[in-house]
Amino acid sequence: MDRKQVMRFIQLFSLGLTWSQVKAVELVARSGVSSYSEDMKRIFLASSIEGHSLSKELNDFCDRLKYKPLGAAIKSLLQGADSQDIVNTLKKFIRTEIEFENREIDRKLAIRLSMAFLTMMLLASASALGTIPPSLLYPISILVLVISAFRFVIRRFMLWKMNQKRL
Amino acid sequence: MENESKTVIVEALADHLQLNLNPLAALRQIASRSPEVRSIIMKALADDKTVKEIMEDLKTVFGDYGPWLTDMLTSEADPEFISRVLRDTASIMRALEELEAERRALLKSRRNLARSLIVILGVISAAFSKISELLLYLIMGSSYDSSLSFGFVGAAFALFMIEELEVGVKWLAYYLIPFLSTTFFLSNLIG
Repeated sequence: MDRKQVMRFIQLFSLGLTWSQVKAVELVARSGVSSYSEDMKRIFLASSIEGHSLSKELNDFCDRLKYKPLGAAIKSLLQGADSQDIVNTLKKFIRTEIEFENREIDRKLAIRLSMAFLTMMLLASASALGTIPPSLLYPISILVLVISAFRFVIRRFMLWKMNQKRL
Repeated sequence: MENESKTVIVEALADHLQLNLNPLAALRQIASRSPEVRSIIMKALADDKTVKEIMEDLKTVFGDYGPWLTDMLTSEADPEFISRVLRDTASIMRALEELEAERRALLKSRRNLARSLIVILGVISAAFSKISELLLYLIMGSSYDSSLSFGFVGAAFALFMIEELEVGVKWLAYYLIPFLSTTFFLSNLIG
């Protein structure tokens, strides 16, 4: 589950909901917000062509979602009486997501620093005790750097691709 | 264009649409709001462009909201209804600006934290390389310069740490300066 995509989904859905439920579904379907837009396309087609009830389809979608807070937020948006309710639900949801996002970053930073410490400790002790020859340190470090740079490039590319897809 | 003015323009569009009940007239009215919008709208009106074409030209001004606003203004719906939706859109835009500012502030604090951790990582890498050399000398009696290897490992983890934060290339300076200075200091200390 990508938190940015979830936030984007709720933004678009709220925006569309100021017009109608159909427009909200259509807006997300058109946006290309990963798997959610595919789901919305399916819901849109089911309601407009097959004649299924849009509310029922959306409720089923919410029940099927693995990320339950998103489902709860969509249901709450659908039950909102006016635009103020929509804005309040949007604010509450995004604020919680921002908090989670920050906690996640903190946790990742802590884990990565510990991993760096552990790796260097292992390398230092292994080379000093003769478990690995010191000459092997150089290729190992190059390999670690290449893997990290590759991950970095891939991640930036994915972010760039996601930004291109926006609305 | 600033987000704030984007929201103000959408609100103005809603007001003028409610008064004129005509999207083209409303667009003409908002032309005075900003020089950027004025030049685009005046040129489009001179070229006899339709609302859809004008909104297409304004895509850069409204950014993400451009297609949504185009949808609204080119729809066959009642102008009063469109005006109400525009007003709701503006309140959502305002709420999102507020949330985006909060998010930016929190991310900035995480970026600062990451920078501090990268500085620590630079010191740790240099310290481990010298500890490794010292231990190797004490246990095996041989010497081997492992600064570069530990420097690379540290750089790999620094890159790993900034992956989420869009810190830019400055991370390299935050890492290299403490790494090189600690290496220099310890080399002189240990010999």
